[in-house]
Amino acid sequence: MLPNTKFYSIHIALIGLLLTLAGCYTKQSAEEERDPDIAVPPQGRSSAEAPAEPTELQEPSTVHVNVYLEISNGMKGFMPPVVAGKAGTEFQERMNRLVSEVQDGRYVDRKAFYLAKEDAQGKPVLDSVSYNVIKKYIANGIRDDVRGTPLPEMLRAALQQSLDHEAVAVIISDFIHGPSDQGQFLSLDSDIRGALREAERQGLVVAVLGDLSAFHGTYHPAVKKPEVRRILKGEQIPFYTWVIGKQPDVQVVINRVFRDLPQQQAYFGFAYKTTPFSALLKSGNFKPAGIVYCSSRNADPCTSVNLQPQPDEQVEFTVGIDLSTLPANMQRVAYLKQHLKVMGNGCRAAMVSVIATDEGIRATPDLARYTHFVRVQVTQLTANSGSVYIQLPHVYPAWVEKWSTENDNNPIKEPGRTYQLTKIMDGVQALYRDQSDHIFNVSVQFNKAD
Amino acid sequence: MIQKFFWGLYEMFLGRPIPANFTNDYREVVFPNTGLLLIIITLAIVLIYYYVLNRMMSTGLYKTQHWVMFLVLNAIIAFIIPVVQVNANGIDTHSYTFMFAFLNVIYSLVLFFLFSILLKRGSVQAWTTPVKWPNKK
Repeated sequence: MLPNTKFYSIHIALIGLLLTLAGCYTKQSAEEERDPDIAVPPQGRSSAEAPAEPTELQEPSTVHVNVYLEISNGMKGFMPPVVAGKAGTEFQERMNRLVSEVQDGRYVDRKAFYLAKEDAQGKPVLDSVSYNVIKKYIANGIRDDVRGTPLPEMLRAALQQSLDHEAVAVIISDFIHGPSDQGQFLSLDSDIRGALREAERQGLVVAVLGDLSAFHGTYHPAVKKPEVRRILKGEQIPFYTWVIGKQPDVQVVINRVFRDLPQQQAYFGFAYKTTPFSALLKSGNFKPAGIVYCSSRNADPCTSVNLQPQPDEQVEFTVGIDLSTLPANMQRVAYLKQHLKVMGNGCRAAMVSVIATDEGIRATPDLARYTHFVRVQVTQLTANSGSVYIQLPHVYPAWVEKWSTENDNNPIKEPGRTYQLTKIMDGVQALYRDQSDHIFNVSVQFNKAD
Repeated sequence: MIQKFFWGLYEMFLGRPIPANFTNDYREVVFPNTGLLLIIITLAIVLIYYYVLNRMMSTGLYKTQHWVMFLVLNAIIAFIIPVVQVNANGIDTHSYTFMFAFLNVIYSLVLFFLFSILLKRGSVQAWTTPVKWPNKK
């Protein structure tokens, strides 16, 4: 009997030993590492990127907005007097919502409304008016007699004033150029560029929203032959809303103040330097394939991976990206599918797919931080280390070409066109040409797996 | 250094960890933990067998069949530890996990035999268990 009891007590002692030793290399959980209370030396990310983040990403809670509504004769048709029983034009509805959001919305701090016209000398004049006056103009139409405003001058004046007020400039116009000197048509792009030069210098960005509205009244085309003016009865004529300001402020205006944006959008100067991202290698939702693992076991986010594609097994993994601050139409999966680029430096990489987050994905706390998931494939390494880039290049919006015309004289035959819109946009484009090529550029470092 | 040693010891026969996305967990946690526990527990059982049961006490467990019992006990522990380690670290279980546990069992047998040969000479009752070699008396 005695040996047996000894035997069991040894058993117990062994299990005790096993339990005490089981913790010698324990896995440090990601939660622990994120815990701010734990006094660990800051890791690369938190020390290097933390100061940059607030300036880049955080949208201000409120912005100052200056609204400029052009009230030349050419704009009258957008704002016919509203009579009961007849709906207003799209222009009137949209502008009414816009000025109301600016006036009463919670995202706008200081606001000012201006009517843009020109004086007898052809100089632009910005008339400060109250909310009620601009509302009356939108609903009841324009009574004043104002000849066409020269575009570059109007932009320049509005921009300068907004710069002085530190406000976001919102300029609403049909953007039909009406210069007193026809020679100005030739230099329209460079004039636009010159007018907005200060915006680029001051680090402002430009968003252009194109929309169509029924037009009731006298239409003044830029090309005066064969007709100098035409009477339209509800034909679709484009009008544009230009938003100029600091990028985070413009984001607030287009995403929160305007809300429902038209399909036609163009963005100039937008760049996101710190896009939060992480290679997702241990997530149950996105299982990687092939030999790939995070370089650091507990890194969160994981920005560096070790990988090794095999001839018979290529590497595939998913990168989660937070694109919530991008303009809404750039967040569309269809847009990203078309324009997103995956490139390798030191490897051959390609994009497999891109999806937006959904309820199922958001349920996983670690994934809720990301709005989009890009599946990346690496087929071959050409160096022992390098990067996989996920980039969204600046894309010249396709709609500009379609909405532009060289002869806007007959909008009945050819509705929804603006004279030399491409040239106007080229001018803005040229302004930001030398800035970064990408709206965002995410780079996942890699090392050859050992 | 220790991590590298155990990482090499296991991957020598098993190859890269599968699934590959848990490579670091295997290399930095599971392999060193398992290897260290294997050495410590095997040594402890050998010491208990030869010095406690067959020197300090006279339990009569000196026969080879008793030695084999302890060898098997050690092997069972050597199988359980890797499986527990893999699960405790949130690693997806794969047939690799069991190959790893099986390899650990083989290492436990080799190690148990090695420690026995090295340490049995200090035992009073079991100095010829499991074999007389290399001791001469």
